[in-house]
Amino acid sequence: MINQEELKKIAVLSRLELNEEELISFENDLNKALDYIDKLNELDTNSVEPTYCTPINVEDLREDVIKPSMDRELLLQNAPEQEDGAFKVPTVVE
Amino acid sequence: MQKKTLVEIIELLNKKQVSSEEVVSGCLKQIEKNTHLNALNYVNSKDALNSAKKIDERRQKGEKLGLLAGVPIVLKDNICVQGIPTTCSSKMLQNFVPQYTATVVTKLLAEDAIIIGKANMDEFAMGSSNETSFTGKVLNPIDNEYVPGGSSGGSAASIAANFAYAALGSDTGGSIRQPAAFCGVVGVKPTYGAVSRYGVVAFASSLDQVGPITKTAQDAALIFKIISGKDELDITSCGNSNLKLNQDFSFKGKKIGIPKEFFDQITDNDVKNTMNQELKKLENQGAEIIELSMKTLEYAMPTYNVLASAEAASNLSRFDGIKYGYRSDNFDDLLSIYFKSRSEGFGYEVKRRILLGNYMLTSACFEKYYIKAQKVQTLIKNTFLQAFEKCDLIVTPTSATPAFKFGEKQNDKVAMALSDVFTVPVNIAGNAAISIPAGLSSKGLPIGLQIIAPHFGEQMMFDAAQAYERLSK
Repeated sequence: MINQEELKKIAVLSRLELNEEELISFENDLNKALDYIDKLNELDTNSVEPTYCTPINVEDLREDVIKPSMDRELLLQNAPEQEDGAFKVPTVVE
Repeated sequence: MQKKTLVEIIELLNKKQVSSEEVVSGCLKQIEKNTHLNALNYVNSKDALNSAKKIDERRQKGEKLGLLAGVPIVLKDNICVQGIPTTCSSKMLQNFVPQYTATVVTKLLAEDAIIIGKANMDEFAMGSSNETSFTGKVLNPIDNEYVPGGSSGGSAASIAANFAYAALGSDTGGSIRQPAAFCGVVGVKPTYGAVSRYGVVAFASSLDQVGPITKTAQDAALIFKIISGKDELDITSCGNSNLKLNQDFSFKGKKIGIPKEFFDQITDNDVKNTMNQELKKLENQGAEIIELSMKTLEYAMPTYNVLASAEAASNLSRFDGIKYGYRSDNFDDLLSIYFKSRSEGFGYEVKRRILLGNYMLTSACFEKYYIKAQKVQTLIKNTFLQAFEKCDLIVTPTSATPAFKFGEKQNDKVAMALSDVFTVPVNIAGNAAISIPAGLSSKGLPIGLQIIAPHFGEQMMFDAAQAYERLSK
């Protein structure tokens, strides 16, 4: 079970602002989901290895050679704000 | 001409009985007549017509052309094409124009295919009814009161409404197969690793696969052959493109497994009757129907809820309002750019999954939820491995019910997710599966039959699907 205080903390970690109404509705939704997920506890998995994605064959890795990367101008094309070939953000260090 | 299959239209084009310009114009007219379906986020009309003219000229000159020369194709709007907007049906990406092209698209274009539009979808592929799209819901072309399914709802609707001769979708828990079933078309989720995801906006990376939506299994096999294969830009891709097209296939002596506990749970009479009738058909062809006990499959859905939400939370952390995507005007420092842009840019369902995912990824919960789900994933994988020792293919309905009405399940996420109960286990285990139209409900809504194959068992899957298709004709 997740309570409103925990939810507020998770929202901060998620970089999401929630208003009062959303807090109530997400608390309700998340608890419903967690309740359903608790079904997994019916299974004894003590001696089971977790699956970690697909095994990657190391011999299949591509050669470690430098190739040209994307053009800087092209890369910046979708930036909301840019200056002198860099992404622009508000002052972080005074 | 609009109703032709992909293979048929290719033949007409090759015989010069129709020009690509005519084919593309026909599709554009069809799109214009059906804007109420809201199936496309973007129509690439001018580019598509220009490409068609160029291909017609090359054909006139007798140049060698690709396998899909001059054929219009629709892409789900999470698949990037340089210079064409990719929005994921989210406010977050309304202004995003990719600077690069997904490998699957590069492969289609290498065969001279024409991109005619980008299909509406659930926001960031999170949904089963196309109701979470920022650009509005897609209507099911078969009956406009019903959902088209999701998340590749626009791709499936585009094929059902004859906007194009093939579409690409993406499938994380059923997002290709379920809408294909709801719209009465064919949809394929390839084996995990069979198709490159480079240039496809990530949702849950350990489950996502790209696949075709078409009118026939024969068409889907052709598209799969073209888009599959190893790609050095996607480390998880490890397949080949050796699929043999149009092989002879007989059901005689083939063992078809049906997960018994699952079949017992089907409450929809139309789905139940259709399945019984179709299995009888296979039996009449000499197939042996084998009842399988696959009890761990009932844990696939909660496993999916953990893995998909956790991975989504992690993947979607890249949307920060700085490098690309939506930025709020409403900020006064760096941190508030993140908070405001994400809170204003993401819709409710996306936020719900980010919150759920991040909660389960916190150090206090990681073991309890994420590792637990990965362990259950191992059990589900093993269940499939054991099942395929006893049978060649597994058959289920694609969805427990035909399409439902708008709003019917929007407020009950668990009930909504249950429409994916037959498709999700396949993603968890990484197998291949295809949904094929199997019949109609009493209300005239399509019912899909799902054929599941072992890892990299696409050859038999497509051969069987095509043989099944021939039976129904």
